[in-house]
Amino acid sequence: MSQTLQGNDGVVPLIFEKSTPGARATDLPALDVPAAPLPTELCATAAPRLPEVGQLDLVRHYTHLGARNFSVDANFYPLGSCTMKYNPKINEAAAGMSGFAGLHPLQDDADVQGALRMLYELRHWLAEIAGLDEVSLQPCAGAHGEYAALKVIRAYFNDPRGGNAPDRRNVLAPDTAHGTNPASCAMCGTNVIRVPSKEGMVDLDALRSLVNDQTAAMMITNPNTAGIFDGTIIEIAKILHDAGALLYLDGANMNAIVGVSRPGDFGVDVMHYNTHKTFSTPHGCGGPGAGPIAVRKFLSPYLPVPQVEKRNRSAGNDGRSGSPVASAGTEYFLDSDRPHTIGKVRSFFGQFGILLRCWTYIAACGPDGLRNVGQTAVLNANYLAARLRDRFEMPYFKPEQKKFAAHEFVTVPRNLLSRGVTLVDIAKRLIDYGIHPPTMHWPVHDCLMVEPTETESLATLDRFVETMNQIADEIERDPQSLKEAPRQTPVRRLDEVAAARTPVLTAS
Amino acid sequence: MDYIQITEKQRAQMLAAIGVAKVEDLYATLPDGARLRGLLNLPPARSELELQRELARLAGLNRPAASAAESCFMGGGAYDHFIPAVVDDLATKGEFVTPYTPYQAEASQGSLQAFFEFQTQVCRLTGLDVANASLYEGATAAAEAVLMALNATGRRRVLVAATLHPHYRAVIRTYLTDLPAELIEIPATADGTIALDSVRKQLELGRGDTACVVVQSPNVFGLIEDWNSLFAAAHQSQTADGASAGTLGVALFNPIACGLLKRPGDCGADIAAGEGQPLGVPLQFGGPWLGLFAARQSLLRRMPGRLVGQTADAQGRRGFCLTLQTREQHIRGAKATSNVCTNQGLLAVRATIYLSAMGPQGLRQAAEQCFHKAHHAAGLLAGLPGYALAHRGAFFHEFVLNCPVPARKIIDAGRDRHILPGIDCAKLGIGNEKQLLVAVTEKRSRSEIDALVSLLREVGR
Repeated sequence: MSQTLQGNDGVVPLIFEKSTPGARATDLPALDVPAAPLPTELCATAAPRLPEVGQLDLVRHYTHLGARNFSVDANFYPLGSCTMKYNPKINEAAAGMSGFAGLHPLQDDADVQGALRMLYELRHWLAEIAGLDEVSLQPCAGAHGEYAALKVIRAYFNDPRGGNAPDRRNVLAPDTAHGTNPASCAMCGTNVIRVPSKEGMVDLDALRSLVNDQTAAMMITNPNTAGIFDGTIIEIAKILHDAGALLYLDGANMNAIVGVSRPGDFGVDVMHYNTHKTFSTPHGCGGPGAGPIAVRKFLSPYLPVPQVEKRNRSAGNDGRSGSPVASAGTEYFLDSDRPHTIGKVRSFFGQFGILLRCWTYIAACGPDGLRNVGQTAVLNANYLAARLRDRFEMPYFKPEQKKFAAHEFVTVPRNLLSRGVTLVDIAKRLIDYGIHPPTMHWPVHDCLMVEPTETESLATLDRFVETMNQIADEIERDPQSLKEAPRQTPVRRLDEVAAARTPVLTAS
Repeated sequence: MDYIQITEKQRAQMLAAIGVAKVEDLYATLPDGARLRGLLNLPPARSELELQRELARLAGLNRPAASAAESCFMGGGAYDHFIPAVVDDLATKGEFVTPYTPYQAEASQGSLQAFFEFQTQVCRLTGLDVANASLYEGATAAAEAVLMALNATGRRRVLVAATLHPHYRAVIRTYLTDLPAELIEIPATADGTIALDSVRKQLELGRGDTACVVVQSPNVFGLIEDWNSLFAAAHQSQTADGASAGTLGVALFNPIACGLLKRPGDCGADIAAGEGQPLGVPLQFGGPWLGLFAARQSLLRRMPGRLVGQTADAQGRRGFCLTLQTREQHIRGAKATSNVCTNQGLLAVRATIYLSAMGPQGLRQAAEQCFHKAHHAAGLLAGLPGYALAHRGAFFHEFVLNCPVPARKIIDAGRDRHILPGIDCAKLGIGNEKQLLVAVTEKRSRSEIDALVSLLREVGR
């Protein structure tokens, strides 16, 4: 495979630098109505300074830019905690169908029954996969899901019908938590209290000492960021529940247990999904994502509005002509009449096009396929860990003690780093081999967090092992040679410190 | 089809390499009580052909507003604009759809450069100094603007025009509950805009504790608000002891309108936020879209979201990387400028391609045609017996029509003629049941407008 960024040397000028006054890439029909007088006092004196390029130059520009990207379609991304799995092409085809892409969000429910049915089914499928009762599809991304879920938790404790404990403002988070967890808490006006880990797992004694009647919830990622399924999770849930607090699951690593274990069954009260991690929606160089949340029934009154619901209607109670579902039968609708809701978390109803890809993926996999997804993610990770452990130290992966990796594992390659290379050197050298570097320096300093995902072939996994060993050879032979990496990319190592010191964020 | 490439034979080989007998052994730490017995209760797996058929069936139950078959006069925060074919073609390339967040800059120069171009274009559209590489969508971008103003000023009060799209107001409300902040709505006048006097009065009542004034223009009725005077009032407001209050102006804008109208930055806005859907992004039933966000230079280090900066490589060549990441949650945790960890990368690329394809003349032309066609339609519709424009003020491409019959009746009658005449103002929560919100983009032809006029004439009889 060895798809690198070669053959595209040099800098691609900015689209603004390719601008030729008068050039056009597209056109509009001539104005076919009489012109109205323009309100000149409200109008800009000139059109915005956008580039002027012909269509072929436009196509070449963005084709050249595309060629300067690594992507899952071309490269292996063993990227821990971020889960870069293959995005099936039918997902994209589904989202592009005009019957979905062309829907206006304020159309009558009767005109969008197919879309609403899809959302309704997805809502229930995600509840089943979570082992929880209710789902909101609205959050735009994982961090937005965290936010919405925390708002739901706060609304529950503020409500006399619910927890009736507005003083519960503390949220516990392990010291290895994703940075979004504390940031989401801050946006909800809650305090974050760090819970220490012991050998990659929550320190239960510390947890017991931190939980009290001020605790709203604990946010936990499980399998956690050390790549371990924390087997004390049922006990953790009990400690929280006994104190009247809730257990929140950051679903970032749901990929490892989908179809194998359900968060609701191990004590989770509320969780979010990252659809790209568990359900193969594309990462898009940062987005769009979607972050549906699943909750137990007692939290459902607080979910954001609207919710997609279903009712039966009898023939003739609504005689709208031409409506595709004017006859008797099931009717799907959007319900905003929820007095205890936290309100709206975004305009309209969520990342519909992403949710459609998610539906398509679950429908393709079915229950057997989803279990195979979870199991193969774990198999692939353990295979890589087993093959790499001779040269890359693994603090948590010890098969002889029955300590296996979840879908990802952490290596702290001290042997190699002691020879004068940095983790960044190793990462940049991987780029030369056409492999995206693993996540670095997290959850512990000087570590690589490797996650192959379930969609890679054995040949790709073996090539990764060979490449890692080759880099280890290079370090043992001539560590200085890695300082030059990457060499096979259109630009060499970039000065990120200078970029932050003197920010240049726009073209002149 | 689960897209897994490991064969049964390979599986056995891999398990042997790990030293376990079966894959279940790898879940050794999973407590018994946490193990799913049996399978999830989901429909059985479908083959790709079955899936294609089911998708086509579901799509067929919908009536897409943006399609060759329909004339869409619906707006209300979601607009049916022309999307050049080149936008779809380029933005659906796997090289843009399937890469990771560009933390490894050398492997992501394509997206990074596109984001840098996007930031530049947003600055040029808004007339402001710095823009981020996109947020989720318009309403959350508006809420982030308010949070930024609260943090930058250290104040508590937020003045929000009642003429904001109701979803934007609702999202800002959600974002402010649980925080030490107070949301004050500036009511609309009978003219459908907010009055300078009301804003001044609230600024005085606030005695220097007002973080920002948030005004959308064109507003939810399509009307153009007087950003200049409103933001000047914010800037001139004083604390009790006569010092400058430092109240910020937050402009919620429509990027197509920026092709014709004065830009937020030219009208005194300190922060501009908006919905990027009109820039080549399909309606998609409301998402995924993209939030536009720009601000004055002085607010740079308080901005939410991702920023791309220009830099040089080891050989002095120009390159791009994510920058000022110390603002972000993966570094700062609870002290980050926001919890936003993702941007709408793919849609930012799409918007950039759209703006480059349209160019200055194309965007200006699209904006002018929106204006002329909307005014042509408004003139004809308001001339029909029983119909009248609800407001007198200047509008861009959308207006409220008072109707002699319920808007519901007009919308239902449009179904047979493949016309989506507009939005029921009562349903959107911005008016009564006999008001219709009509949007006319550059995509609507004269004959489509004529068909709308005939429909309303007949239904209104």
